[in-house]
Amino acid sequence: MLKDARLKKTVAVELFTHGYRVTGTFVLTSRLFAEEIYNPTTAYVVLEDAYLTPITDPATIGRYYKSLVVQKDELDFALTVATKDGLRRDQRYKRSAYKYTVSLTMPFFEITGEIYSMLKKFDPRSYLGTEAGAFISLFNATARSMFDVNVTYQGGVILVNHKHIGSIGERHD
Amino acid sequence: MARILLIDDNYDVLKMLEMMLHNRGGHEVLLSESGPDGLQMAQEQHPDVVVVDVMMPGMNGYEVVKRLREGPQTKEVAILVLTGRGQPVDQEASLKAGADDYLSKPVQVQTLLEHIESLLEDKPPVQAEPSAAYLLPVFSLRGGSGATTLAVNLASLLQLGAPTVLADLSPNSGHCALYLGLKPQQHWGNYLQAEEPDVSPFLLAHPSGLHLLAAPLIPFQDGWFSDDALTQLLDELTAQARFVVLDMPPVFTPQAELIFERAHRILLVSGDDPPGIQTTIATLRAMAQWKNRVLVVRNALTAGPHPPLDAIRRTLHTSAMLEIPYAQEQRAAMRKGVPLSLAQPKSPFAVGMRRVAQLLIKP
Repeated sequence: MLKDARLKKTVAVELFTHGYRVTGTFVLTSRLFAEEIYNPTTAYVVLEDAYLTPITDPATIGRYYKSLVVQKDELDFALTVATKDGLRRDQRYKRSAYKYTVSLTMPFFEITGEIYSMLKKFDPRSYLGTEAGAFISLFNATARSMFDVNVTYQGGVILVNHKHIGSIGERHD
Repeated sequence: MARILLIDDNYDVLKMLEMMLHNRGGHEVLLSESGPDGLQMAQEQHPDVVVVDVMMPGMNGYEVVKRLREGPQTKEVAILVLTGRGQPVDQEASLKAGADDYLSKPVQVQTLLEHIESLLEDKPPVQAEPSAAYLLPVFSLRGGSGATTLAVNLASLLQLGAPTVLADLSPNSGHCALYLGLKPQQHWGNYLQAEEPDVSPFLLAHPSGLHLLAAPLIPFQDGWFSDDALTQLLDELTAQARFVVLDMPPVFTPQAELIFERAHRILLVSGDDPPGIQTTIATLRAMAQWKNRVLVVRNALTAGPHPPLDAIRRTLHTSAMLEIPYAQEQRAAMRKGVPLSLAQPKSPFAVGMRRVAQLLIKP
């Protein structure tokens, strides 16, 4: 028998942590997904109907969890395919004036995407400083796996944990 | 009307898809909430198309697809994978498992219906009308939109079904020969200078069986085709092959109009950046008298997210629009001289090109 319909708003997200790819849904309550990631008062994010897959075998459908908790400090990056699903409310209406294309390295990944900034010149210190907040939003971003450079993950937005960034630089090509 | 079986563990998604396919598409729809139950329904109800989710607890969608392909009663059924994992690696996994097509969630109604329709009409190119040769120009007023790549791949796919000639009509520096790994020692310039009106000696043969009328590598000193010379060339090409694909130069000239007038269908290649869309809008206006023959394709030239296809359709005021996904293997294919549609027939790019080919030669 088919179950009764449950009405709740969700967004599909992908999280990458400790060499695992976590695909699941985030249930929207009072906070949007990006707001939950950026929120400094919570230590974790909860996904429903989540699948955990090693990034060395990314296409397989791994272990299933009805509910899965991911520690934000341990998160490398979070990805939403649709840009609107990866925005905070303040980003929905206005973005900063200057745009840079940057590449950065993370454990097992190289990520390239666009950063919007108030600063006219790109200054990595403004993103890597401890007071800058734990995550950085990269738009129109692509994460390339270091295990297989042909495997890429494309997102309207990728939210990067700045504490896990190994190197970051502006691209001019 | 077709019988479509939907397999998804999410009841909300099932009901939404049922509404799309039944109310908008007029199809009979069967619902199943799990892989094992869906397999049993497929064996008993004989659906025309199975739409299956990938991420399901218990038996996942890839396993369902594999078992459908193994079952004597279900091995021929058309399978569309509808996945919440929309990354390229997931799309390839869907096709490798045995699916015919895939879509990422969330999906637009029109897109889903088009893919279902394409699966229902999935026939090899050779089943086109037997009597007349098909003249298929590939056109874009914006240089660098990938029209040559699409022309080469389209011609290669059509050659699988029937003799096909690709004519590179570039007046400056054509690249079809490069894509096919051929040296353009003979080209249309030599044909124009020949005393006898016979194009055969100037066609280059590709190992796939495709024949190419190449363009000169540098601008030809005696100019381009006159109306008469072009008419003569088209007469000869259509007499020799079942399908004639023309890689058109990015100019709207009286000769281009002559070709459009004779064309069976016209493939208009569009980018999805603002200048590309603006150019396509202007081109569609200029081609108003042939609008029923035009099929627009949005050719993704870069990786990463692109504007929604439905939004571009609304902007262009056309429903006849398909999408060709970005393929980073394109350069490697060119180096080998084998079009990607032949080198990787299961790739998302090749799947997209096959849909284009089927629609272009649909009677």
